[in-house]
Amino acid sequence: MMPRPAPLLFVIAIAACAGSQSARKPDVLFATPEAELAREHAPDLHARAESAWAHASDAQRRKDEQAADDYRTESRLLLVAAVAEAERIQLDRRRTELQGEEERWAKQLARDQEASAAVARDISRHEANAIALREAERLAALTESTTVSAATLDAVLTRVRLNLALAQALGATGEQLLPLRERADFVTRKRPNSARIAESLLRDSEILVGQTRADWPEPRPGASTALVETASVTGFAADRLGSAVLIRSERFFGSNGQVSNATVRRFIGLLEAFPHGPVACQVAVPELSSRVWPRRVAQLVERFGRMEDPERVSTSMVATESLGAGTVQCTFAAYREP
Amino acid sequence: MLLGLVGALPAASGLADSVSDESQIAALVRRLNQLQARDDAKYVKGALEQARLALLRASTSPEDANAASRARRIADAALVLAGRQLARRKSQAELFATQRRLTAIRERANAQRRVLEALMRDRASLARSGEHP
Repeated sequence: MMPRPAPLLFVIAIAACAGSQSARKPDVLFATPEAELAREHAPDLHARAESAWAHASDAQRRKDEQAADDYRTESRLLLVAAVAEAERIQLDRRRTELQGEEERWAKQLARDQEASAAVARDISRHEANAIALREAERLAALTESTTVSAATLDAVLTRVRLNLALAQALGATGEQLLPLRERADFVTRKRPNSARIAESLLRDSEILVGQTRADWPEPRPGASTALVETASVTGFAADRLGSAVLIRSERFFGSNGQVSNATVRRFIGLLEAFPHGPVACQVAVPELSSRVWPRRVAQLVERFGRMEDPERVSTSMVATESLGAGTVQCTFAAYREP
Repeated sequence: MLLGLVGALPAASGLADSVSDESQIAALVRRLNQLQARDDAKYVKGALEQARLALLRASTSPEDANAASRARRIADAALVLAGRQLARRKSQAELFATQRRLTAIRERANAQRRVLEALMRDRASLARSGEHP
C-alpha cells in the first residue's frame, strides 16, 4: 500500500487546525468567520464538508483512524472550496458595484465634456464679439479724436484692405483700386497719427465699394448682412429687419445740441458704401411742440442736403420716449433679404 | 501517467462495482487533465497535486474498496477546490481590472470637471466685464 499523501493545501483556519487534536473538533473548523461566510454563500459545498466531517467522526468512534483522516481531509478540502466560492461571490458583487460606479463616472465625464465644449464655444463667440466691439470702438473713435492710436490704425488698415478686396470681388478695376492701395501702403509704412488721414482712407475705400455696388441694379444677396456689419464696426447700432436694415445712433447730436460733423461724415460714408434705394431717417424728440429740437433737426437736414444725392435721404421728427432725445434711426429700405 | 493507471486498474469486489469505480476514476482523471491544461493551472498546483496523488492511491488500492472510495472522494474534493480557486482568482483579476478602470475614469472625470469649472469662471468673467453679447 502506498503511503497516503498528506493534504497539500492549508489555508486560513484549516491550516491552523490540521494534524492537531483541535482539527477533530468540527466546532473549531466550522466556526471561523470564513466558514460562516461559506455556509451563507456556498451552502452546497459547506453541507458536503459537514457531511464528510460527520463520516470522520463515525470512523473515529469505530477507531478507524485511516478512514477518519481521509474524511477529515475531504472535509477540509470541501470547506476551503466553499470559502473560495464565497469569496468569489463577494468579489463579483464588489465588481458589480464598482462597474455601477464606473458607469456613473463615465456619464459624468461625458456630460462635462459636452458642457465644456458648449462653454468653450460660448467663450469663443464672446471673444469674437469682444474683438468686433473693440474694432468698432476704435473706428468710431476716429470721429471723436484728431489723433489715432496704433491699435486704431491697425483696425483701419485691416478694414481698408477688406474693403479693397471686396471692391475687387465686386468688379472694381485696377485703375480704381491702385490709388487706394498705394495710400494704404503709404499709411502702413509711415504710420501717421492723424485721424483725418486714417478716416479719409477708410471712407474712400468704402466709397469705392459703394461705387462697385452701384453698378448693380439692386443690392446683391448678402448686402443687408454686409450693411449691418459695416454699420456696427463704424459705430452705429444696426438691426436687420424683415424688410429693411435699421441703423441707429445717439451721436448725431453732441451734448451741446450741435450736429456732430464726424458722425454725419461716417453716416455719409455708409450711404455711399451702400448706394441702393431710399433712406428714411427719424429723429427722436421728447415732444413735437418743442422749439429746440426742430432747430437742431433742421441743421441735420441741412447737412444731409450737402450730399451728392440729397434726395436719397428723407428726415423727419418723431415724438417718443422709447429712444433717447436726439437719437437718429435710419431705414435702408432696399436692403432686405429675399 | 494517470490515464495509464486507469487502463491498468485491476478488478475490485465485483464486475459492476469495478466498472463503476473505473468510470469514476476516468471522469476524475479527465477533470484533472482539463484543469492541468489551463493557462492558470500553476496557481492551483497544490490542489491538483493532491488530486493526482489521491487518484493514484485510488487506482492502486484495489484490495481495499473503502480506502479507494475515500481516495476518490478526496480527489473529487481537491478538484472542486482547484476549480473554485481558479474561479475566485479570475473574479479577483476582473475586480482589479475594474478598480483600475474606475480609478482612471474618476481621474479623467475630475480633471474634466476642473476644466469645466475653469471655463465657466472664464465665461462668468466675460459676462461681468460687459462683453456678453
